[in-house]
Amino acid sequence: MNNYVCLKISNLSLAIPGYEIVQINLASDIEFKSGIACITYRNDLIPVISFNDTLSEVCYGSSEFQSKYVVTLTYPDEDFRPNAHLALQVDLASKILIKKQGLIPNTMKQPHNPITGWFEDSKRSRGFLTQTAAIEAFVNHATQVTFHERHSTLAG
Amino acid sequence: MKDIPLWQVKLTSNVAFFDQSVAEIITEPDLIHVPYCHPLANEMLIRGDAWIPVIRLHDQFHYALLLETPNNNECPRIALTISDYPQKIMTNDSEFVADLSQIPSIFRSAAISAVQQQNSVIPILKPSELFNDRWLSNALMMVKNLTSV
Repeated sequence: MNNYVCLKISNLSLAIPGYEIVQINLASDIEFKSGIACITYRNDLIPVISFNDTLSEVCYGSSEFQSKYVVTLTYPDEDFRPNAHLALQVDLASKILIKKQGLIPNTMKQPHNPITGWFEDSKRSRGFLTQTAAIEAFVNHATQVTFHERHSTLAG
Repeated sequence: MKDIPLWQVKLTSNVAFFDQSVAEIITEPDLIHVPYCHPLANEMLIRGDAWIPVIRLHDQFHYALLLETPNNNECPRIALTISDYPQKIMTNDSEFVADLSQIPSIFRSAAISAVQQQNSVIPILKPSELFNDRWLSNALMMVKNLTSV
């Protein structure tokens, strides 16, 4: 199966499995609840996350990076039901056909690096592979705010 | 006596690799930055269908030495940036030294042997020993100490 979507964040291209994207919104759909930037997915408010192309800056609950779109990402829970987990601000989201891919050695990566591998697509563009679970672990580590804490704050 | 070919390169001091460890010498390699990685191993170069991790000890370099790491399933090759083109030297059994305490400490964990040539002891490195957390951490401390002088 070759179903990937490339998320562009400035100069960074991150390819994610297409089935992990449940919704794409314009940044103008962002609303603020308790001062936290959120996007609505079904009946849930999902805090918006953004990071820069070097992964050195991560913002939670604000829209500082002024990106154009918000993609809502999910991965299945233990019962294989999809749960919306993250809303990520991106400059572009486009379907790609991956022609080559490989792993990034763990020895290179800092702990919690969301990048799992590299790819080259049918247009010979290159970038990195990721998954929602890896992005969530990175964001949790960078912001020291867990998924549960993010949603508890919004529920209050 | 049997002549044994080595490739000698200048890192912080002279080191060498057995001929069979060196797969290729690449001139002016194009490197791809990988975000959120170790400061000395945050780039890769492309060779055929493979992306190869690069260890970079210098800001300025002109070559990349492509090294075989045959026992590493994660990456069968690594690359090391160097400023000067490596020199092919010949050695023989009589020049090998048993005592590795004379070589710089940074290279001792990665050295499989050493040879004495022209009043200096040159460590022969095992490439796979350069691509692990311990060696990269020690190398980073060394680079920081050198740049702070």
